[in-house]
This record gives sequence, structure tokens and C-alpha cells, in this order.
Amino acid sequence: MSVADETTAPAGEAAGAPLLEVRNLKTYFPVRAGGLGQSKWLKAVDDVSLSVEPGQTIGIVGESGCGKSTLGRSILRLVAPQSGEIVFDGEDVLAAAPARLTALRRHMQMIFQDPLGCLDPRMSVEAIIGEGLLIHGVPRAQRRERVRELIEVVGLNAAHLDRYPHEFSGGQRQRIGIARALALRPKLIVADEPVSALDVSVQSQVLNLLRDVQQEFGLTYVFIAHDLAVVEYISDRVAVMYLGKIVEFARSADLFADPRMPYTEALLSAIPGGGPARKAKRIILKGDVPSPVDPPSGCAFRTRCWKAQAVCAAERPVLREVRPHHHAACHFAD
Amino acid sequence: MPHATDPTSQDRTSQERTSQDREIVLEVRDLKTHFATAGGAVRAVDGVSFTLRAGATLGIVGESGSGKSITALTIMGLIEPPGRIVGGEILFRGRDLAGLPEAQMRRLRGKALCLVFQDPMSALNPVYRVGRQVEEMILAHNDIPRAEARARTVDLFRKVGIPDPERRVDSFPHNMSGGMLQRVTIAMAMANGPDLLILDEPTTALDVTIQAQILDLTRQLVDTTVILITHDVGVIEEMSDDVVVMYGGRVMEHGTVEQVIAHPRHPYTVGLVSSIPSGAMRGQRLNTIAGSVPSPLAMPLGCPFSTRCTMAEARCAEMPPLSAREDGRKVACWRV
Repeated sequence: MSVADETTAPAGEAAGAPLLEVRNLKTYFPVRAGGLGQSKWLKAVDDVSLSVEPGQTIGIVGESGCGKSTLGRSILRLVAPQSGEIVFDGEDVLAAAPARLTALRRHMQMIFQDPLGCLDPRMSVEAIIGEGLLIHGVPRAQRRERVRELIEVVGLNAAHLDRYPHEFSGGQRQRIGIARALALRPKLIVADEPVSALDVSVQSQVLNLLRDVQQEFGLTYVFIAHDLAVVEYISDRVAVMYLGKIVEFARSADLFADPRMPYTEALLSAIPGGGPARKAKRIILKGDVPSPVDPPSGCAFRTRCWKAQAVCAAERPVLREVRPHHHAACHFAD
Repeated sequence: MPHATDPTSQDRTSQERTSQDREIVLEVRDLKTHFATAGGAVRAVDGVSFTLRAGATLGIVGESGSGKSITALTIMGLIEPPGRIVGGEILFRGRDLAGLPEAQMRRLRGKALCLVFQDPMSALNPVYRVGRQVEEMILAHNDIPRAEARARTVDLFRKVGIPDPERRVDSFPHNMSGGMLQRVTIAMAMANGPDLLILDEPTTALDVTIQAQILDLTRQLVDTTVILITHDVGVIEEMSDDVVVMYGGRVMEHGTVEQVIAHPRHPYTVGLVSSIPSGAMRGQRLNTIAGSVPSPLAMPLGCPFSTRCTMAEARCAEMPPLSAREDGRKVACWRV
């Protein structure tokens, strides 16, 4: 058992106020079910709470459909949450009026998975990186200077500015996406699968770049990914999501060394490779993730869990502290 | 012949761990598949050689554009113009597939040779029930009544772990999850007891826990000779006996998983393996390979990795032969 060493605590326990606090966030989407016109709710994000301190990276992991991307989009209010609170730098994002929201978004930027899908093919790299500056009324001369500075920061050069997205490789496009996100000197970056589309050798270049700019500009990251090795590498703390809920939340080292929630355990054991020792411990889960429109009662994971008991169907386990700074939602997490 | 390989003496050592006395199912010799494009010839596969013995699993690992999937399509005889096999041999049980007429290839495909793709939806017809599609595969190669083909299909579905197979054979592809559909395509590939099963990124589109299920299923096909193509070094480590590392249409390194992944020798393999992130690396910079894969039209004539290699020197302008080292592995590098 790892005992928290308070002097070198890497995350979460710092004295400073969190930069981002999400409280009881719910983002539901209506779905039509059956032919009778009744509608149901897809609970993409269901009562999620978390906080991130300035300069830290929180990793959000989970399988497709667990709600990790919707959580990222909700934080920037790119989708409209049903209820809950998102407090960014002391201000409620969900309560902000349109003009105020625009002002707030200057400090919150997003990096997407598919850099080609989010870069306008008819805009030059200079226009792409400078678009945010233009929207926020930065004068032309300053804009040019800032864009030239940014392109160097992300490891490209001024000669690339007149070119168009299709002329670049996947890794270079992601660099352009990062330069665009950095343009307005944000405090928070939500990165949604930023390296999943890249080859391994290029992925490590982009991860290094993300680390470098984080240190240089004191950025806070919400890093969403399905690749557990990447998340373990980059995150200070990690939240594991399953069917719209956070089921485990701990410091990266603690979570990977001693997962308390069976789903996390299965997820970690499913990472291929790692030699015969890991192979022997492999947990093969039965079945697929249930539909988020009609999740199981009680603990949503109980239909695939080998530890499930009667209590799991009857009572939904709450996310509670089972080890110092280590939260898990399981009746048997102790 | 740019690099003549001697498959007899050297392969014995590299295969020793697994199946040295087993029959050679597939021997690929100096295979070249090029594509004529407006910008010139793309040398997608440019002199690939490897050997595969019965019951073994060979992993082919490489990044985008390395030629790993084109190698698979070439073995399956699925290269269409402007693509063309311009050289080499594909000896499948001693018979060269490279020059085989389409009519004969057709008899092999789906029976002796099977290919499973990354995206199961692209391998299945959306308007037919999944069971029916597997039945068609059985009926194409066996003169049996449909009822019997159906019974075999139900049986196959059970073997690949599809719950409630009697009912699931009547599902349409859109009613099944990605993991279940991949099980269907594996059932289809196994339908006629193939001699060689090629899996091209079979779990790349799947979630980790579902990937573990499919890999577990694949591992149960112990008697089948498998080529597993992936970009994921972890999957290779998990599943393969031997591994071929490809880059720019060439084989860079070929040996057992223990040799190549745990103790890589080629500068590209070293770079690839060491750039994988892990928790142990947290707070440190990751190793990287500088630059990116050259455009297929601008691939260097010599060693394709020379433009990104820290060890490159003048003679790398000529492609080094894939030659055996003292431990039996083969490496294509002048400097190693």
C-alpha cells in the first residue's frame, strides 16, 4: 500500500484553489425509444464531480461510450449540461451569459483527436492559428508576431505558415492544432484523444511537446484518452469512467499500482504486452458494455463483474475515499 | 536480387524456440509490390522475406505506410491495378502464389487462406443476416446442404464465443457490437479450417477489454498458422512467437519476440520500442524518432529509415541486406 508522502505530493493536495471544479455535472441527451414516441435519456455524464489544480494534468480514461468526451465538451460548454456546476477560476461557466462565455473560453481551449477534421482545409496555417486572436480583436501586427512565435514553439517554422492542412503529416497537423490552442494563452486545455490517431514514434514527439508547453506556460490539462499507457505517463491524477460515472479517482501512481474498483482492475489487466507475469493475471471480462440508455440498476458494472453480489444490484455504490486520496465506487473496495 | 537471404540455415535458429521441426507453411522471398501513380512508382512492399512454420504466430509490426497491410493483401492475391507484384515469390506449401491465376487463387481464398480485417463492417454485407454470410462461405467451398452449413455456422458461433448462437445467426450486422462482429468475421475465416489465417489489425477498432476478449479467442486457435499485423507492440508481445518489423516497405528486423522486442538491435526497432510511453517514464521526456515517415513517393532508395536514423552514414544510401546475426535474428542495417 502506498502511503501518501505529503511533502512530494504530486497532485490534488496542494494548498492552492483548484483551477477547475466540476460538481454533480449531468449531461443527458434525449433519445427516442420504441414506436410510442416516449423519449428516454442517454445519461452521457451522470453526476460527475472532480477538481483540477493549476498546472496539473487529470487523465480521464474509459471505453467508448463511457462519456469521457462529453465530459470534456461539457467543461467548455460545447454541449449544454442538464445540471451541476462547472467552476473555472472561481467563476460558474454554466451561469455565464454569452458574452462572458466567449471571454471565458479565451482561457479554456480544446485539442481534438483528428487534427484534419478540425482544421479548415481552405485556411492557411497562419489563418488557422491566428483565428482565435482575430476573434478576440488582437491587432494584425501583433497577431502576425504571435503566430510566428507559436509556430516555432510547436516545432514547425515560419515557412509552414502559408501552407494548407493537407500538406502536413498527422503529427504536424496535431502540432498546428496545439499552436492554435495556445494562441490565446489559455490556462486550461481539454485534450480529447490528442495522440490516438498518431503512429507510436510521432505520438511520443507530440506527448513531449504537450509536456514542454505545459511547463513553459503553466498549463492545466484535462487529458481524455483510451490508451492507458499514455494516460499513466502524462497524468498526475486519473479518473476512470464507466457508463457516465466516475468509478475510480486517484493519483496516477496509486491507481495503476493498486486499483480498488474491479472495472479498473480489468481495464489495467487488459493492456496487452508486459510479459508473462501480466499475462497470468489477465482478467477477461464477459460481454459488452451495457447500453447507456438503459444501464443496470445499482452498480452499472455489476453485469460484467466477477465480485458482484446481491447488494450491487440493489444499491448504487458511491464514490468514496477508500485509501488516502484514492476514491472508488465499489461496495468491496476496502 | 538486392539481398539474397538464405532461409534454410538461418531460420532454424530463429524458429528453434517454437516449432523448428514443423512444416514450413509460408515462405515469402524478396516480395515486391509496387503501385503506378501519376507521381511515379510507389514501392509499397520492396523486397520482403520471411518464413512461417505450421502452428506458429508471426507478428508483423510497423507504422502507417510501412507496407504491412499491402504484404497481407499481396499474399491473399488481392492487389489490383495500379498495384502489381513486380518481383519475388510467395511459396505457400511449396506453391508460388505470386503468379497464380485468379481462378486458382479464388479456390484458396476463404478456404486455405483467410484474412480478417480491422473493420468487421467492411467485411460483412449490411443487408444480409450474419449467419447467412458465414453459410455462404461454407457453401462456396463445400458441396453440402444448406441446413448442414447452418448447423456448422451455429457451431462456429459457439466456438468464437457468441452468446445464444442459434438466435444470433439471424442478426443483422447493425444489431451487433464491434466486438461481436469481429467474432463473426473470425468465425467466417475459420469456417473452412484455413491453413493460414491473416489478421490485419483485428483489435485496433475495439476497446481494451473487448480487445482482450478477441486476443484470448485468437490464442485459442492454437493449431492455426497465423500472421498478425498490428501497429501495437504490446499486442505483438502478447500474441506472437516471431516478429517482423517493417518500415518503408522493407523488413528491418526479424526474429523471436524475445529477441526483437525485449532486446532490439535495429535502430528503428530500438526507437520504436523505446518511444512507447509508460508510467515509469512519468515526468521524463520520452524517446522519440525524429521527423516522420517520408511520403511513399519520396522514400529513399537505400535504407528507408536513413532519413530519420541517428546512426545513418554514407553507405546507407544502399539498402543493407537482411542478414543473420549470432543469435539467429536477422537485421537489415550496416551499423549493427
